[in-house]
Amino acid sequence: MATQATINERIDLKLSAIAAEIDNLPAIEEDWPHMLDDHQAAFLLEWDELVTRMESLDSAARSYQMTATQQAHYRDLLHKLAEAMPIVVRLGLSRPQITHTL
Amino acid sequence: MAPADETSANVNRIILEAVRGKQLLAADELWEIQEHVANAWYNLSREQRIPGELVGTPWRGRVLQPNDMLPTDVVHYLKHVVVRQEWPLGMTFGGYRESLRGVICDPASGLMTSIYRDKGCHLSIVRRSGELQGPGGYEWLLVEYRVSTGNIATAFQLEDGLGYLDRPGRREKRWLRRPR
Repeated sequence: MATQATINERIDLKLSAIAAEIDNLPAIEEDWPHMLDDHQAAFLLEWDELVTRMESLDSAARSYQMTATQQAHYRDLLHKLAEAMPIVVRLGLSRPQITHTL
Repeated sequence: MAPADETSANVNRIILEAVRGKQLLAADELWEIQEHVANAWYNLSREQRIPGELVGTPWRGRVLQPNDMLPTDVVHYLKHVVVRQEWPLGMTFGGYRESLRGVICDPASGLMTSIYRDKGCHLSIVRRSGELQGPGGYEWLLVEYRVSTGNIATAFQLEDGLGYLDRPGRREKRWLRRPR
């Protein structure tokens, strides 16, 4: 069974990966028309996986599995996602089903 | 021995016929597909700009900087193995490559065809991660092959397991062989 330390480590890894990918969205949108079709496909596939991980973070936040610092990082991540939503829509990316409120 | 492009065309024909549901594949045809995909790799025709999460990561004696360009296979390795730690800590680039070949060729791996968004026919190869699961990894691992280009698109570990394959965006899904 996963220890709390392991759970915390996994949450940290997910928070940083998702935040980085959201930060990267403006560059992706700029590059998109010039990207190789293989690179576009890879991005779409990996985004779908990150959406799953965002939804699991949402679940962790609602069930109080996050530390206070992680909660703060998660709220920052939700702000970033809200700001990036126009790009998500324009690129036709999957949207996470998140119920946690800011 | 058939030339490589002839073999490739034959394998793609077998996959496409399977997608259309025209035939059940025999064991030797499945093996032919696996062997072919095991020799495929990422599209290396053009380097790509590194994503932000790789900035600051050491690679071959230097620390990566914003807007650095790297081959696609290195970007995938650094992202999923080194930074996200989906594979065991310390896994080398060569070990990563061998790990994907091992998954592709494993008789326990599942093979599923589908049409993915506007990207054409894909072959998804899934297997339990087992010894390949790192601190940030998960129980199942995916290698995604693109029939239209003959390249590996990506490989990563799946938080939601096989449920990942049910996400919107895939249609005409067909298991050529379910994972064991």
